[in-house]
Amino acid sequence: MGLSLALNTARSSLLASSTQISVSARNTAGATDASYSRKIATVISGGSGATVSVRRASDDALFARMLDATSSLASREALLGGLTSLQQTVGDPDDATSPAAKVAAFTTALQSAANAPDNTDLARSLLDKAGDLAGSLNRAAAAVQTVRQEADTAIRDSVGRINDLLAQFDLANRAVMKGTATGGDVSDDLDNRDRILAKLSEEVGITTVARTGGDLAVYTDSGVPLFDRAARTVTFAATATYGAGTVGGAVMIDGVAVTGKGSPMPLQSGRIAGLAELRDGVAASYESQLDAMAGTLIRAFAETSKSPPPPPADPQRAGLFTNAGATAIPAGDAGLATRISINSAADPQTGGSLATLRDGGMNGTDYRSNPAPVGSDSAYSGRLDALLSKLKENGTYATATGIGGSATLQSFATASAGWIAAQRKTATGEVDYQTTLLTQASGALSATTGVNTDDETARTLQLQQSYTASAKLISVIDDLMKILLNAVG
Amino acid sequence: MSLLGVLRTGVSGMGAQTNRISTVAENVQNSGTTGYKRASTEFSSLLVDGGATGTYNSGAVETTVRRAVTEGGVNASTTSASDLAIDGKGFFVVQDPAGVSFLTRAGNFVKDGETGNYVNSAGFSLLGYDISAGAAVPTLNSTDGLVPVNMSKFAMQATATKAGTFGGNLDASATNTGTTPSAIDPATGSTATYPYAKKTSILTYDPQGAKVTLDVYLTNSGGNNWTARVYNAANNAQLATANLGFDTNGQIATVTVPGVGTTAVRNITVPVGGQAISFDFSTLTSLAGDYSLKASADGKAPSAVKAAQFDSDGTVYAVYDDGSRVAAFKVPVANVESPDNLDPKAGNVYTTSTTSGDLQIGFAGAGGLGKVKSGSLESSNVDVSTELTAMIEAQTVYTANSKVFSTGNELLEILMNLKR
Repeated sequence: MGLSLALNTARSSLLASSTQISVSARNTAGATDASYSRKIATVISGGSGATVSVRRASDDALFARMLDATSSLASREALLGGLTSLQQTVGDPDDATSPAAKVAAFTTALQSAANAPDNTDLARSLLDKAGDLAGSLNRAAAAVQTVRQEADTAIRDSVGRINDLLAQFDLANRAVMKGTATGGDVSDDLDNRDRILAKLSEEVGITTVARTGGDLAVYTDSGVPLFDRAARTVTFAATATYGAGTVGGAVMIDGVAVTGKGSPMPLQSGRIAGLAELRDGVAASYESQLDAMAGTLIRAFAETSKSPPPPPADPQRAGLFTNAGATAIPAGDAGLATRISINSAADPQTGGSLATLRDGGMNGTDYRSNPAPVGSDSAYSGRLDALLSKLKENGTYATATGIGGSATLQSFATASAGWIAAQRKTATGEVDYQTTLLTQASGALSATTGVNTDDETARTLQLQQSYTASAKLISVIDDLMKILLNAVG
Repeated sequence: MSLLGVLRTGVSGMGAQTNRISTVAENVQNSGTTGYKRASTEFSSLLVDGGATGTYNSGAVETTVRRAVTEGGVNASTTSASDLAIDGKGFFVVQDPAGVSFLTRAGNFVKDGETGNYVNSAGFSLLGYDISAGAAVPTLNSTDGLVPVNMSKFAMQATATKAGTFGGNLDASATNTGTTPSAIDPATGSTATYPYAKKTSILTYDPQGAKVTLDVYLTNSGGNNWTARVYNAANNAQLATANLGFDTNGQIATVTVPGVGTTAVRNITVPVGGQAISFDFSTLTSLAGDYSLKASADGKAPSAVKAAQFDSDGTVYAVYDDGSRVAAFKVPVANVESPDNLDPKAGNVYTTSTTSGDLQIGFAGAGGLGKVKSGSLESSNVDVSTELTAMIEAQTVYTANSKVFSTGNELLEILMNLKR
């Protein structure tokens, strides 16, 4: 239409170029930030020159996959961490400190003692090995409780982080909604919101639902709302100390238990899911295995009353292995690994007699197996042989232990050590697999939404040309106006 | 056939060029005025009827000033959202402080601190229809019902939740493992707890804008039937119950409720703070897939108005601090049959004249009218280079007219000298 229009168009082109250059500069600055997405300055040409609209590169499907992989990895890593610390304490079957090795050493000592029942050195060795075995069960049980306690504390910390992140998410979500409503550039706010989601996915598996106006609702992978217009509360009552059989509290999201056995909507992934599996699943199963071993020992070494009929109220009493010194045979196995101890009546250091190992009678003469009077027939090996065969007998172990069925104590102890090693191996394999998945998902996301600095540099050069051309145009129009004004003057 | 007539013609010609150079002066002066429309001069000859043949009496020239109102200026982008331009035909309807309505294309509105109105640089307030209570009903040929666009009445407004939806899938194989809180069941009147398979919650607002979280417990009653029980999360009071039936394809269908009969429940009404909220269940399915219930509801908490957003169809939204927005006003776009014949008034505004045709009120983007563009201003349609050439031309013609006058004058002097 005229020089004025040309001037205006050149001016808007100048503005558009400078905006694009500033976006390119933002991209270059954010190139090393993993959660930064590439900003795209689109030039919209109209009758009045060009305007620039800033969008960001995003891929919802890849982002969801990345979140998913992050959650799965966090869950497996939490489990592996606990299993590793368990296995370090417990050791593998070959390790001399493991309960399995202690069972083997004890069996050998019992065999030796049975072969030479009058040898007090062998009897003393048997007592020592029995003490070692009970102590190793006690230590393993304590290690299990420590692992459960640590998992409980980690869950508490994780719940605190989730509540913090949800509060941050509220602000970030509002910023996006406000920006969307006023038509502003929300690309940075969206990046910020995605960053919070990525952090949240480490703690708990999430799915997101986009709503109108840029709003986003967040649900756990089991469908419990975490954020829908407002953050839902996540609560957890931490348990201060873990003893035998302590049941840890459940994580409650929006009033629904999302961990534990009775949970209607249990979490599938995320750190909390891994920790809950460790605390309530793997560690509890291992504890029940230790308890079963302790129970088998106590029952195998029980002494039976020889008194004439009628039999006493408790015909069987605890022998070499007791439930924390009690004479009664415990009804169930729960917590026995923590409490198993050597009968003081067999230990000379606590006033007991080593001869009771051979003859029985730790609970009094009624319970003596050796038919000869006390102090005579030191060659009696009947009880030791009976104990040995009982120890090598197949017992029945509950399926709740994870390796239930019929087995000898030795094979059960070995299977138990093998079980924990297998759990750890599986967890290691899964961590490796999920790490690979996460690396690939992050790589794919980064390739789609990340910044390519070479590309940005090339783009900046292009924009520089465009800017120079626009500036040149302005100077040409200025010259033309000067010519016209000179004609008037 | 008169020399005096020649003098008059010369003066008339000089006068006409003076008018022309005046419009040029005004145009150049307003070349940066938003919404200014270029004035141009058109000339027409006035002839004096010649009496006898062989003689000629020179006439005069008459000046008509035209405004190029139809010709759009360039829309230059700005950084203020309340800078408006009409991309296409039409005018904003504005009013002066006395309440008289005008038309204008100058959309450089800013919020007036005193009144809260959107006032442009010439002091005119933007008018629109208040649509907070319902759609605008414009009077086609008058400005009746138009009020100044003003956001102050939208400050701190709460919107109660009126409707919501439940969509997604209820896992057909889900088992009831949870237990609902103990509450008085409004259906039976006695306190009871129920087993549930899944639970979700939904945030609603009562008429005061207070948040009310509704817990929805879903019980798998077996045989493709589900029961939804809605509780108030704050006090665990049971508010409503709905039996949902699904057909063998997992789609919502009829359900047989003992003692009630067969009903097709597709919604549930929940009383919240004296207001009934109707939740629509019709898109719910019960397939053997993953549980994925997603609920949503309208309504919003009271929050301050942060900004006004102008949409391209003329709707003005009140944008609240929490990011929600409410359609507050609808700015109409007015037009006349012949915009070039509008009567210009001071401040880039126009009124209808007898030749322009009557006022027609419509909405942006409809019926051939232009769209409202936020963050954009219509520059003046003056092209300085054209004006400068017109000025040179006017100067030349003025000089020529003065030559005609001086030549006529010389001829008269010769005539006067004939008599000594």
